[in-house]
Amino acid sequence: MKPILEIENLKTYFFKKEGVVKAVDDISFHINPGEIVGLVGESGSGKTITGFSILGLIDSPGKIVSGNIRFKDMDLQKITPQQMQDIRGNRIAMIFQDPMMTLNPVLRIQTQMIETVKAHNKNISDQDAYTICRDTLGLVGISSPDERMKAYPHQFSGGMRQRVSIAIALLNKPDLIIADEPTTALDVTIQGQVIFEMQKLCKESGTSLLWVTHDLAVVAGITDRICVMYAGRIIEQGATDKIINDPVHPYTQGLIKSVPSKNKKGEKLHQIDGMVPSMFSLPKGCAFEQRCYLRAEQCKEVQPAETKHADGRLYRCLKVGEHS
Amino acid sequence: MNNQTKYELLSKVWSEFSENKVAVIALIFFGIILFVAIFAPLISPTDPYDLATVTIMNSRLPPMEEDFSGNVYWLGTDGAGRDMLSAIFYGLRISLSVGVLSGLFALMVGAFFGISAAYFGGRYETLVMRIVDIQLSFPSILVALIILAAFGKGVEKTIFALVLVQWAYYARTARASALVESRKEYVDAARCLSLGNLRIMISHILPNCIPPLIVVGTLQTAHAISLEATLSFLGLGLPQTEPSLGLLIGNGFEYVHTGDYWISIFPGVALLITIVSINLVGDQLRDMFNPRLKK
Amino acid sequence: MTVYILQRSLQSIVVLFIMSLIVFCGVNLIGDPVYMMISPESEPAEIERTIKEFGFDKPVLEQYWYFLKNVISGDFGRSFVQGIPALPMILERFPATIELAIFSLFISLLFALPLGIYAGLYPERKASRIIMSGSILGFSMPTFWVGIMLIMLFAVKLDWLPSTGRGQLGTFLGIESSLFTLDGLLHILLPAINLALFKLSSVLRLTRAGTREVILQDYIKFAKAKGLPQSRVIGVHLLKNILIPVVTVIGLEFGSLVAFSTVTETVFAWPGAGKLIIDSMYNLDRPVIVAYLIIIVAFFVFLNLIVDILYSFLDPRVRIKGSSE
Repeated sequence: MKPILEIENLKTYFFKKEGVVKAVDDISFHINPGEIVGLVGESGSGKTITGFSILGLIDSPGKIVSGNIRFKDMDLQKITPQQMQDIRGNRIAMIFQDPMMTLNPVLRIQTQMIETVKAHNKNISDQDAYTICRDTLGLVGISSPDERMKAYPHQFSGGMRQRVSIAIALLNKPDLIIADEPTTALDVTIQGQVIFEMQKLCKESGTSLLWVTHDLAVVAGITDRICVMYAGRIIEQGATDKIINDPVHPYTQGLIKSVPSKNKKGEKLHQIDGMVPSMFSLPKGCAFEQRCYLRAEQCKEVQPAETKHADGRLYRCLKVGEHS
Repeated sequence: MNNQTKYELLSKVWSEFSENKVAVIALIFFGIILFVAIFAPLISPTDPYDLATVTIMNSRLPPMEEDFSGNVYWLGTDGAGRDMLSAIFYGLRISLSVGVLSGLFALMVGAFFGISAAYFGGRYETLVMRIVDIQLSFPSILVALIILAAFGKGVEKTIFALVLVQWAYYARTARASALVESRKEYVDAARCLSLGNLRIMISHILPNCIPPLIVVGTLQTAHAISLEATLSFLGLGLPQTEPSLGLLIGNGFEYVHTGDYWISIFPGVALLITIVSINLVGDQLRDMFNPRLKK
Repeated sequence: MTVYILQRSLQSIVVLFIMSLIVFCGVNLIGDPVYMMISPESEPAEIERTIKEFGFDKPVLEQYWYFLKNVISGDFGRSFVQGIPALPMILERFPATIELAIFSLFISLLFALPLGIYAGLYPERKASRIIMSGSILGFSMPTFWVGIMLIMLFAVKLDWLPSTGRGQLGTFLGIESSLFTLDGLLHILLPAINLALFKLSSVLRLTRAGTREVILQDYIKFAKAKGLPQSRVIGVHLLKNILIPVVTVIGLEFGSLVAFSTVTETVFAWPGAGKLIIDSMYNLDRPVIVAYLIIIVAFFVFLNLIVDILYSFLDPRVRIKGSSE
């Protein structure tokens, strides 16, 4: 089966006055049609930038320095701006992180939804566009959608705003949805609902989903595969159940152990010592070396290349397989 | 602060200021203008108000033309025969003095009310700031007109009007920075120690208000000079005995249609350079002190 | 919302009261109020009669009451210079001033909005820097001097446009204005540009600042991510957000234009209320001065009220109370 999205050796750097930030530093992964892939990492690991890079939304001083982004049969970096515009919100849709600021405060919900439909369906009538929007609102669990359409964003709670964002993403029945922390800003109870609904929608319509988050617990439940990012690189990727149950990279292991539910009652919560290095001064060797229990001299010198594990997953580590 | 830290502070301020080349040039121009204004009687080629030397025979000579006694008037002469260059020098002196003087008074009045409003708070603060808001909702020229209508014309009255127009800007700025400072804990501590209120306000709160006040000061001074010129031009500001640049331009206005352009253009250019240079310096100072623009 | 309107209206009335008090005190305590009604050169008998007639020998509070009564009924006395009632004199000249102010506002917005948005979107470009430097210049040049320069260039030197007076009036939709005739347009062009120039700079800077702030917002990026064309992102999403602070400024700018028209009208001999007040102040025509001041203050208070209401209207966050988070 041919992947719907293929990213090869993507590098997105930010050229600031103080130095170069290698936000995304040589990552490669793919998404198959109908698959749900999780992109996991802490803040600053480069996962949001990855999403923006795919859609060409990197603003100066950022730039995609090298790499390939292939969507279906198109090289997303080589297409014309008009073609990219046709893809955004249409074939690839994005759900942003913060529902508070994503919606324009001075425009009604219906305006912001209908314009998305009309931008990609030139001949549709206002009435039909309205119907599609209203029905989609119902789909994401918003009651009395007709009233809600006329409202302004500030009249909604955070959870509802996020649902609206999700609805907007679904309007044109995209092939791929990039969801950047779609449930992070929500209450725990709402979170569960939204996650369930998104999973259901995707499975029913065959839409691929790239779920970007820092919350390992969330992706563990719904993804087919996981990519773990650290300091701009993917340090482990593979089938979800394998990675969750038997992580090989020390960072992934630390992450899994840190999840509170994995704790026994009364036990101290696990932490990974140290901090993520400053993105302005990444070390020559492995970025995780300082905090790694497997570290050795060679880890300081050489950045690990992507290696294939026996069970099919990929990882970047020189010392995997050895336990201290 | 000892001299060493003062020197360090000044050189830091200067190096930041000089990042903007345009502002530096503006400062130089302003320096020249200040020099001219202060030393006008010494460096002026003639005394344009010495009735003995001024004669109507020389009136309306274009720039660089010789009169019958062989004097060359670089910028020409006006309708009464006065040398434009000298008139401009003296005019700068008056425009600048009135502008700066009114600015200083307005600063003192405004800072007093602004800081005390922030410090004492309560109804006093609400009252003062409400007055400030209402006054600021009227264009300055209108406020000036109201005051001049009530009090009449004249030098002191013009300065008074200018002070009354400007104090509100200073008050608002002073209060904003004083508010930040007043909320700090050491002020509460000082109050507990029964340090005199006046002393607290002057030694502790005032120093922190100075940078934004300087910014407002420069921009307001430019505004005051412009406003005075406008009022004098209209015949409502300074009397004929104190010919500021505005008055010169006003006098030259009647010659516009006859083509004797130099009588109003040159004073206008002098006025323009003064105002623009002060504005540019003030702009740069404002950017320097604005924390939101720090990268 | 209605509560808000009521509150603001009440405030405005209070301000008007206070202003009338100030004007009253200014005249009574500073000058001799008799001379507000009648010229100081009149016969002593005439002065006596006026004092009795207007009750200047009565206690101050009663005088103020008289003053208020007169003001509300529109009686401001007669002009010393022309002898006709002051209020109608001013009102008659107001249309010319308003016409000039509206046209200036139009010109200033026509240039300031697009230039400001451009400078805000592309601050690094050379054109933007030139625009911003130009705005400092526009800000610094005193209106009257610009007016003189304009006359010198366009009227005297090039002889393209007339330099004084108002052109012919035309009628359109029941409104009389010099904008509706070619002659009228030619006459209004220079004074309008003069008046517009000063305010153009401040509107431009505001637009630019607003643009720079709004363009960084998430919802702009989101709009792009939805695949909306750039024209819609700028024209709808950006513009509507910028318009809120700009409209506020425009309202106040309009008031400022009316105030500054005193200068422009004097320079261009434009027969509006502004020129009248300047002439009156010069001639010490007190009734006209007082009438003008009261009217203009009332105008401003009213304008501020309208702007406040308009602002709350435009920003749906103020207009409709949101749900609590």
